[in-house]
Amino acid sequence: MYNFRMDRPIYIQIMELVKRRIVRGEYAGSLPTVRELALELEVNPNTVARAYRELEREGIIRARVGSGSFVNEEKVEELKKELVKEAFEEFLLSLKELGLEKEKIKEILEGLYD
Amino acid sequence: MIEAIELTKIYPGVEALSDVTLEIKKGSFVGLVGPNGSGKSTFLKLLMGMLRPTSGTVTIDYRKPGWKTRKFTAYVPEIDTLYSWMRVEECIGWYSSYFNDWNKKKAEMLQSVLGIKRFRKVGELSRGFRARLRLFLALSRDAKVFLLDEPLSGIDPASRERIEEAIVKSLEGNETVIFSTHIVKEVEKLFDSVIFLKEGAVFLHRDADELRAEYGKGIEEIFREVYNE
Repeated sequence: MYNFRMDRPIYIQIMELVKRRIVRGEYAGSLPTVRELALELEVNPNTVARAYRELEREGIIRARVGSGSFVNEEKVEELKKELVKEAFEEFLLSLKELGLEKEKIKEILEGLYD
Repeated sequence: MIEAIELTKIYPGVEALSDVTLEIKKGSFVGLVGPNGSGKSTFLKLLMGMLRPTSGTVTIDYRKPGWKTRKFTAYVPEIDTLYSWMRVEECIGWYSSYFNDWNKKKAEMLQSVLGIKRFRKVGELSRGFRARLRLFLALSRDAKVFLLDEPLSGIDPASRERIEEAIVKSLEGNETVIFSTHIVKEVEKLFDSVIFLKEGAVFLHRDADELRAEYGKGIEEIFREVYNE
């Protein structure tokens, strides 16, 4: 069972989850079937199917008739960069909300590395 | 596919359903929501052919509800309809011989998920376990259409969880499910689309994720706003 937020489309949250798992290498090779993932997440199979369709449209996964879906390995690096960038953007935004300027953030980060 | 056109049902002095026009696609899981008295049970009974429309039409796969459509429609009534003197096993025997689409393998899986005890008498079961049994008998069929009338109403939290799990595990994705409820919390993640009934009329019929995207809220919260709860 997975805790979804109810105030955002569930299929988008499933897409995000699958992307994170792809980047972590959990789905190297093939993805779980729609039904398997629906059972794991305790959602409607139609919602998982919708998430897969969208991921296919984004070119991140590929469906092969009769043999399930596969990760498009050519896209994994790009996807990883994108997710890392998103994580940093979110992190920077929360620091900006605390009123920190670019120079100050740099200073703190460098301090943490030393 | 389920289609209703200007469907109206009037009981003496009460208009239970008024001018309902809607279409439910094959394979979708629809939440039929609204407070008590909004027409949910009436709509399901019309789909079962247990009630006749006062005016308008309703069809399942282009057929009027009747014995032919009931062969592929599994219905869970809101009220207890099983004989209290029957043993659970006898209920199962009766259902499995009556419906050709009884799936023994699925029944075994559901029996363990729902904790169905075969040798108990129906009358000895608690309310929660009688609700589990009603659902078990319906979900064990490979029906094309499932009509579930308030399966969570008055049910203890443990039974609720089991019932939700049983539904998820029995879904293949190609069956049409109409799930009527006035409790939206937690089950809303199962809905593909939601029909809000208000005083017998369709207030809103939309894709569940589209509603979330548009309102930035869950179905439960939208429900509360629609019905001023």
